[in-house]
Amino acid sequence: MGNVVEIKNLTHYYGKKLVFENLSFNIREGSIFGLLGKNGTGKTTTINILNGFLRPKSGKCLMFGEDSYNLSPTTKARVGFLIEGHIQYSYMNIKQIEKFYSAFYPRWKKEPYYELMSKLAVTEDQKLSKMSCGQRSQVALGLILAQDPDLLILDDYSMGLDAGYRRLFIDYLTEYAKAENKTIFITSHIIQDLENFLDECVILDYRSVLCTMPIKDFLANFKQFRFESSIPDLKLEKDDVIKNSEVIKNKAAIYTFAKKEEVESHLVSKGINFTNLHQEAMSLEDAFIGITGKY
Amino acid sequence: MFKSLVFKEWLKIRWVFTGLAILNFLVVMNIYFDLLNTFKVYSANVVVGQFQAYEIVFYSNIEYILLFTGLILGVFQLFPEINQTRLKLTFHLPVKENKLMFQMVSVGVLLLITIFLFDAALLSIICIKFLPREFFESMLITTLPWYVGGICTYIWLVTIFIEPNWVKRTISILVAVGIISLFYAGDGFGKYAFSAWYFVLLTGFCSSIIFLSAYNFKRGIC
Repeated sequence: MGNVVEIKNLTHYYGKKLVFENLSFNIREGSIFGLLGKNGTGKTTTINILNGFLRPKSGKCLMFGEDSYNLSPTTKARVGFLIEGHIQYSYMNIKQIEKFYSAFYPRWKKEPYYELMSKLAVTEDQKLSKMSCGQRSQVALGLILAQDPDLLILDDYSMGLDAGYRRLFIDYLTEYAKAENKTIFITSHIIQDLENFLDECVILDYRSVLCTMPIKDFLANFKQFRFESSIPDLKLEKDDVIKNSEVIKNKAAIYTFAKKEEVESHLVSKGINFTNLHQEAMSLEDAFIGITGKY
Repeated sequence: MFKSLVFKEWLKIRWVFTGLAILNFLVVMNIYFDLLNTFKVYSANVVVGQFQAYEIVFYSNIEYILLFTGLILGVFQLFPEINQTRLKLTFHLPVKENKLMFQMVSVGVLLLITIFLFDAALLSIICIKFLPREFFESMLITTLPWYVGGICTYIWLVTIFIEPNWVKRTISILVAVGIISLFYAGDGFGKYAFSAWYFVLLTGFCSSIIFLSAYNFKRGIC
């Protein structure tokens, strides 16, 4: 299967502030790809570049083989786009907005949209501006499903949603993506919701990329080791082995891609005494915080 | 697709359009009743003589209403697009951005023309009913820049709203104030007889700047 999205050496600045440098990754057809990172690491910037709403300082961004800044209408019709905050035309009602969009998309299927709407406690003539955030998210999702795009770009789908609506959103997407072999590119602040959803991810840090890999490999290879040390004011610097660390009094945690034996020998080589070195299981959210840090 | 875009724009501005149409109608009716009252109090010869001698523009109440109409229609059409960068939704539609922009602005301009033609028709009827033909011709020439000024105000408002850069936006506001003030610089009795059509050309030129702002919007929003 080919790549739906190819991002090559993307670099962007806002004024003199570097957002990221040499960002590169590909999104395979039929995969669910997560763009993860803390606030201000460039997730929405990447999505804006991908949708042609921002011209990068350098690098290439291709969508279905076309330069994302000059997408043809045919390619745009293949891309479903959820704007951060589920923004839609709030002055329209459920029926009007479906009628509006249907004229633009040749593969429009209204059934999934109305199926989703039937689950909400809303009437057809209810305006979007009078709906709750959760209901608006379902309208936005329903419209994307009706568009029947090959690629879905979802920018922070979880913003403002309670646990129930987040689950509903992911359940629908999972069913849809698997059944129709759709490609999904998603960002979210609620990492725990994505654990069983993503196939691959790229994790952004401020100005750089921390890792790009299949989510299973990330969860299998990125580990947390905890130990105790008698060294007062222990400080652990980041290096090839230690990707991140936390120290509270005499207790330390190391986040690493290395094996236990490598961590042991690394600590010894740095002159750090330790006891009770052991690995602790991590969820995707733990691993995300482990690699990006809490601050 | 254009029909669908018209549908979207209409949903957005139908109430403000109706309100502005009513406002324009009331102002023209006010002009009519003022004139009717004048003709009741004074003889026709006296009124016509006074109008000619003092170059009285009895329809001057409509002047800034036309500017206001363009301004308000623009605000109500563009604010929902700019608020929460909703214009991204429109630009994501499978149509070239310039074409979408042109179609959106065309809807606004056509609605303004509808109101203005209505005003012009009513004023013409009033003029022909009460006054000699030369007043009618003078009225057309005098009011043409005001109508076009209303459209030009609308066009500049669109330009200013979609421009994402605050420096360029400020410059646009200053240029817009300068240009639009030309349309309302003189209200005397056919003063624009030799230049009225230049205002139409100027408005046509100003329209092209919308595409520059749309380009800036697409290139630089975050």
